[in-house]
Amino acid sequence: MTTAGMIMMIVSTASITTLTAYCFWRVLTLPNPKDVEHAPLDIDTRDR
Amino acid sequence: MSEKKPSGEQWGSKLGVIMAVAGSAVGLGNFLRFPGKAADYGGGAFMIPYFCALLLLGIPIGWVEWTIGRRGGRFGFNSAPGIFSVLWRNPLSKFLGTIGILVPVVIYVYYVYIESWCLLYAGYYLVGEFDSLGKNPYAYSEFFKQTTGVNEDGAVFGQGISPIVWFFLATFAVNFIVIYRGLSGGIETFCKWAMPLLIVAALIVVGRVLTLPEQPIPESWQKSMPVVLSSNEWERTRAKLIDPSVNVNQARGLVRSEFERFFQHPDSIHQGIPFAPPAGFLKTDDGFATALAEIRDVGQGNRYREWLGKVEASLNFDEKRTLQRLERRQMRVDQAISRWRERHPDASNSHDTAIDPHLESQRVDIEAARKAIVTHHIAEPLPSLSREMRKLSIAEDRIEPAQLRAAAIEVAEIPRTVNNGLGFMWNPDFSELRNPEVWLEAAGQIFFTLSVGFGIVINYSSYLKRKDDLVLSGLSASSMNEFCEVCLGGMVAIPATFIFLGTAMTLDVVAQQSSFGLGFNTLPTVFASMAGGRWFAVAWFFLLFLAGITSSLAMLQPAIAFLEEGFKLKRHASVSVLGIGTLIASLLVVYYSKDLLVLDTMDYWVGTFMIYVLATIQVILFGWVLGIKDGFKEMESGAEMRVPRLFRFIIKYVTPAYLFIVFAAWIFQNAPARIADVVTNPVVRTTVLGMIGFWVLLLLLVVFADRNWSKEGRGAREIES
Repeated sequence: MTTAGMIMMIVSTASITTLTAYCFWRVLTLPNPKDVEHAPLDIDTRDR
Repeated sequence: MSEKKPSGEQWGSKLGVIMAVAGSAVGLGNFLRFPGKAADYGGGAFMIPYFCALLLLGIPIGWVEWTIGRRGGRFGFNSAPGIFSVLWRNPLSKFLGTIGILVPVVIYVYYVYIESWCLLYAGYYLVGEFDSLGKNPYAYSEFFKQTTGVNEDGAVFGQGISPIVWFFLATFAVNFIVIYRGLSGGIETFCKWAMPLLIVAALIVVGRVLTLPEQPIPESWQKSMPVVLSSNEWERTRAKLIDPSVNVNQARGLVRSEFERFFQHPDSIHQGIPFAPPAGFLKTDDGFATALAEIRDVGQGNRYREWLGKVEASLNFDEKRTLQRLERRQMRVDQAISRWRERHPDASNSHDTAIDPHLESQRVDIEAARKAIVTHHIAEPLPSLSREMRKLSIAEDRIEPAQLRAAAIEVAEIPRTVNNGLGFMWNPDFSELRNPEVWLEAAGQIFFTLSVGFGIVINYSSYLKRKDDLVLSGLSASSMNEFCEVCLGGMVAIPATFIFLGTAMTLDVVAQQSSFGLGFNTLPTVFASMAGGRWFAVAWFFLLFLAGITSSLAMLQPAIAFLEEGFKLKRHASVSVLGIGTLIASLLVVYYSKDLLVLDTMDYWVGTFMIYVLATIQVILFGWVLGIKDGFKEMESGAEMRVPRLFRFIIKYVTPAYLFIVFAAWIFQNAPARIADVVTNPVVRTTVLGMIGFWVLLLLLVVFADRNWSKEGRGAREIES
C-alpha cells in the first residue's frame, strides 16, 4: 500500500467514523422529551 | 385544536427512526457494489467524487425527503401521492406521487429473492453444505446458477422444488410478520436489534480479513499443472494441448476440466499448493494462445519463462502497480471495443481490427506504455512465441502485444498481504479523475447507497411529529450508512479477494462489475481458502441477509400507508393485500429466472431509472415549488442542529443540475441498448409492460383515493400538534 493510499483510506474512514460518532453522540445525549415536557402544575409561572 | 394522526402509527423513539432509515439504506450494495466501484474507478481517488456527491446530492436530497415527508404527515398523509398533493396544490402532483409507491413495491418484489440467496448461503455454510465444493471457483459459479435458476426458466421448480424456494418463502414470511406487526412494534424494533447485529457481524469479518497471513503466489497454470496433477493426468492433458488440431476453445475446455478434477479431489484442498485458474486477459483467446504456445514450443517457452523471471526481478513496486492500472484500463477499452462492434456489425465483419479510431488510439497508447515498462530494465529481447501463436490463428500484428500483455499480468503480481490487499482497494490513481465516467459512477453509488428517491424516507418521516428533529436524524442515518459502506464494506471484499486470488483474478472480478459475481462466486472461493472460513462465511452472508431485510422491510410501508389513508383499510388488511400481491409477483421473478433477466429489467427501469425521476421531482418540489425559504423554515423547525446556509444554494441550483447531468449521461450511456432490449426481447418487454400495468393501476387507485380525501377534507389543513 502506498503512502497516498494509506492517507486516502485513513482520511475517508476517519472522517466517516467521526461524523457517525458525533451524530450518535448528539442523538443519544439529547434530553428525553418526557423529561422536558411538564404538566401544567409543574410550571411555576410566578403568577401569585 | 390538535388532532391525532389518522393512521395512528408513530415512531417509538428518535434512535428507532434513525435505525429504521439507516437500515433501509444499508443493503447488499454497501458490501458488494461500493468496493467494486471504488477499486475499478481509481481506488482512493474515487473517494473525491464520492464525497463531492455525498455533500451535493446524498445529504441534501436526504434532508429534502425528511422535510417534505414530515410536512405531508402534518396534513394527515403518509404516502407520496398525498404528501405531494399538499406540497404542490396541483392535480398532477398526486399522480407524480405514485412513483413513490411504484418504486419500493417493485424493488421489494425482486429484492426479497436476493435476500433469500443470502439466507440460503448462510444456512448452508452453517451446516457445512459447502465443504464439498472446496476451493473450486467453477463449482461455486455452477452452484449459484443452479440455485438461482439462471440456466433456464422454471429451473427451481423442476424435478422437485429447489431449496431456494423454501428459503425464499421463509424470507418472505419473516418480512411479512415484521411488517404485519406495525411500524413501531415491528419495523422499528427489528431494526434496533438488526442494525447493531449487522455491524457486529461485519466487524468480525473485517477483523478476520485484516489479520490474514500472507498467501503464496501461484505460478501460471501451464507451469503449476504438472506439479499438482499426477504425472499420468498431466501427460494425458499435455498430449491433447500440444495436438495441433486442438484449437484455443477446446484447450480452454480441457484446462477447465483439469481444474475441476483437481479441485474436486478430496485431498487437493489440503495440498497447500497454490494453483489458480486463468483469469482476465489470460482466459481470453489471445491469453490462452500465449499459454498454449508456451507449452507447444518447449524450448522457446522455457526461454520466455526465464525472461519473465528477469523482468519480474527488475521491476519496482510502482512499476508493477502501473502495469496493473494499464491492464485495468485496457480491460475497459476492450469492453468499449466490444460494445462498439456490437453497434457496428458491418465494420467488424469487414476487417477484424476495424474499430473506433479513438478506442484504437487508446489501445495503442496503453500497449506502448506497457511495453516501455516491461522492457525498460532489460536488454534481452522478448523470446517470441510467434510460431505457435500464428498456428493458433492470432493475427501477426497482435502476437507481440498479446505476449507482452500476458507477461505484464504475471510480472505485475505483488505479495499477497493484507497491506497490498488494502492497497488494491485504496491506492489512488488520480489520473482517473479526468475520466467523467468516474464522477458519474461515484454519484450513482451515493444515490443508490443512501436510497434517495426510493419513496421510503418521505413515508418514514411522515410519522414524525411537528417539532421532531429532521436535520440531525437525517445526517445520522446517512452517516451510519456511510460507515457501513466505507469503513466496513471497503475493508472486506476486494482486500480478501486480492489476498487469496491475486492480481489477475481481482482485476477480472472488478472488471466484470458484478456484485452478484463478487458476492456469490468469488467470495465463497475466498472463504474456502481461509482458516475457519466457513464460520466467517456464516457471519458474512448473515450480515448480507440482515442488510437486505432491513431494506425490504421499509419497501412496503409506503404502499401500506396509501391503502390505509386512501381506502380506510386497517393495517392488517392492507399488509395482507400487499403480501398476496407481492408474493405472486415475487414467485414470477423466482420462476422466470433465466439469466436473471426479469430481475435485471426491474432493477434497471424501476430500481434505477425511476428513482432518478423521483429524486429529481422531490428536489424541484422542495427548491422551486415550496421554495427554499419556506422549505428551510420547515426543515429547521425543531432541528437539533443548523443546516449551513450554503445548502440553500446547493439544494436550489447545484443538486438539481447535478442530478440532470448524471441522469442525462446515464441515459446516454445505457438507454439505447435497454430500449432495444424492450423492443426485441419478449421477456424484457413483458416485464416492462407488467410494471407499466402496475403503475396504471396505482394511477387509477389515486383517482379513487383522491375522491375519498376530498370527502374527508383531508389535506386541507394541518391536523397534528
